[in-house]
Amino acid sequence: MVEINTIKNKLKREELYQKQKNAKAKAKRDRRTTLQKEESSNPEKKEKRLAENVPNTLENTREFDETIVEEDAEVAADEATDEFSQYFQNGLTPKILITTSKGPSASVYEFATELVDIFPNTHFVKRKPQFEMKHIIEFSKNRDFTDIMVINEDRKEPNALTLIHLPDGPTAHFKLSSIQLSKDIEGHGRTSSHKPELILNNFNTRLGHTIGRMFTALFPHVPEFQGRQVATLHNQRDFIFFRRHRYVFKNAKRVNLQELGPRFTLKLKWLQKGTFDRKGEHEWMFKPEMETSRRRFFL
Amino acid sequence: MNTDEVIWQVINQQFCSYKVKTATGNFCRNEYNATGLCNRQSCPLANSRYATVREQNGVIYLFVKTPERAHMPSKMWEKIKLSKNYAQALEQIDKELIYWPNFSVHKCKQRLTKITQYLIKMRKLKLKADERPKLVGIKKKIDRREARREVKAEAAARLDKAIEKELLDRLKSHAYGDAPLNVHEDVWKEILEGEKGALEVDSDQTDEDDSQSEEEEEDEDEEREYVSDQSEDEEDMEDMFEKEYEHETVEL
Repeated sequence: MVEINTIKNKLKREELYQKQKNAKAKAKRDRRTTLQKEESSNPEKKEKRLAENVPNTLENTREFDETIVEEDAEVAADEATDEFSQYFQNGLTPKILITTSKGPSASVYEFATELVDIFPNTHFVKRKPQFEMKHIIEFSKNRDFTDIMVINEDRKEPNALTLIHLPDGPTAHFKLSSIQLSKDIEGHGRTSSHKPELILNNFNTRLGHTIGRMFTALFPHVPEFQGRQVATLHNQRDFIFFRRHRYVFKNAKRVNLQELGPRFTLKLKWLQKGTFDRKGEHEWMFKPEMETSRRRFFL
Repeated sequence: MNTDEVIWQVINQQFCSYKVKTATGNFCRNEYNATGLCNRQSCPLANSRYATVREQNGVIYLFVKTPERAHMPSKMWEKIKLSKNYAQALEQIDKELIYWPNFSVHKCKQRLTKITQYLIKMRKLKLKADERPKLVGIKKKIDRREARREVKAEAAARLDKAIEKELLDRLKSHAYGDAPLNVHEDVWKEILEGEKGALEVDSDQTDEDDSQSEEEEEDEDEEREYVSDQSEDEEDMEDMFEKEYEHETVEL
């Protein structure tokens, strides 16, 4: 057979090429329809094919991390005595203080009001420039707050969130990005004052566990299920996506979700033992040189 | 005294390396100048009698120059340490510069005030240094990379699907309790029926177990008794005592 690209006549070459292309597409179509027919009569075959034919993703080719926790007695013992035991064992109700960096702009206040709406039992306090973080931490400890959230602003946009667990830390600092307030989300629902449930996904490593526990300790122990509100913190490739929905179980297989907002993404930058201290040591800190590969994740 | 006039003539009319000429006036860069201006009165070079106040490593000194030491350039300036107390330092200046022209005394005192103020400010800032926000450089390349990866991670996360799955798992594992508040009755019935169906499938697979349990049920039927409600309390009490007794023995 003659190679198509050696044919000199352009019209002929085009015609043959088109034929070849159509034949290829038809073969593919035929193969798929026959496969579909076979599988509809024999669902096991489809299951087998799906089980064997798993595409490679960054998640399933992730670099091995020895700190991934799976039913570890040592970790369980560790977590039983950590800073969050007041919440997990003694059933302390969280009380959160939200404040901002000094001299914030309007967008930060807007974001702060959304945060106040998310977490039950939250108090927003305007930041006065004469108070440093160490003073605020002291005041909050005296007033039985369990957590402080500080929204940092850069160029009139919220750009970072510092989460301080009281009274003994730890302190986590997140980069804040892709903020979408409720009003900017199309078809968003109105929130109710019910305590939401919490979904935490994929916090697998030891560090991830700590961060997960930190977030859990922001929500009350028993949600009000009749409100059908759910807050989600989903970790994917070290990005923590926050979403909030109202749900309806439509049948045994489907759930309908209505987004309530806001949406934002967090990325852990550092974790400090103890409450915030500018000169203190960091338990974990993200450095660009730690990113040796795209398949390496820390949470 | 003659030399002073000669020096000033040179500085004023020819050249001085400390002189800075601007549109608004001439300034002096000499560190011993008490005013910072270039004129006859405040020129430290053209005055054999001169006094100024300077700060060295946080300590304020009064520098005094007299014509008696003009022939020894290495010992030309008399350096007098001033007190840390502002009021006392002022008194010191008054005492050291007694019978001096009012201009010198006044300028020295002005300098003392300014230096004391900036020292106070410096010390305050130093104390607050670790409370000031730390400035971090913007790394554009990393920001761009992270923004791109965030978009891809969000696509890979399939958030809605993940949330739906988690909610259904919770419902089916009875995490919401046996009479959940967040489900419509029909859906909950459907799920319970689904569980029953799964159980029946299991029981079909183990027929022998089933037949055994049926026999047990029959046995239970035979054991059934019918008792009057009189003296039930007493019997119950007795039972309780017996039970307690048994319990104790077991413990011992």
